[in-house]
Amino acid sequence: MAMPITSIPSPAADQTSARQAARSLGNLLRQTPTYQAFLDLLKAVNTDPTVQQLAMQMRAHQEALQMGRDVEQHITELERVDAQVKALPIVQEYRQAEAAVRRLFQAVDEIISQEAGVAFAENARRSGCSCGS
Amino acid sequence: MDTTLQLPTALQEAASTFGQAIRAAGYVSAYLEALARCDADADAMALEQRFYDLYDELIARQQAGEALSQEQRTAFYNLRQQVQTHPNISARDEALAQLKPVLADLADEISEALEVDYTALAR
Repeated sequence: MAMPITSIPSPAADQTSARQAARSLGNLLRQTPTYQAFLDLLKAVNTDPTVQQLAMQMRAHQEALQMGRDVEQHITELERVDAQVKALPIVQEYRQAEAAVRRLFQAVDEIISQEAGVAFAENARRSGCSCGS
Repeated sequence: MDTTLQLPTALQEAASTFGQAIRAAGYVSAYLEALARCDADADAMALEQRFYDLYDELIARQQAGEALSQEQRTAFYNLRQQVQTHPNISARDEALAQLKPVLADLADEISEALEVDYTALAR
């Protein structure tokens, strides 16, 4: 009588397992204080009235540049507004939180890559993606 | 300065489990085999190194303001063609090209939980 093969996992089962492991890892990362601080600051920056106002000014200068209008003036203004944004305490705090998250994710990615045998994040990147921040 | 980050044990284990799951699923074995064949091919490695050296040289010349001659451009394209059509190099690159979308799908699972692109912050 032929015995059912139960000890060798099927590729489909392995793929499901990898997906589940990815989701578990994502959930764990999300729960870390480092990531929570980053998310809170991301939301705060995205809803801060000063940041919004300066972002609108930046978009206006960028649009003018795309149209080729008063290029030098708009470049100067764009640089000025950009410096203003970067100098805002909430933005500086956000940048620090982002740097901390990067360090955390890079440390995690080193472990994944070592175990998988291939650089994970580097090769998992979709072209044209941004981090959503 | 010591920049080593001490990860919580649960996170270390989750990352390790995920990496092992990727390897167990056989996603990477075809690529690793192709990579090993390529690395063991001295001709392929020398050819690829020549290509990178020429690329670096031409970029440096361009950045220094030099206009590249047609001869230099042709030499570059010819060498690139040789690299791209080398059996072991192309097999390795093809295996990696097939692996990348699989890894991207798995990274999407992490990104979905995070609500940001994991790969953008982990590199």
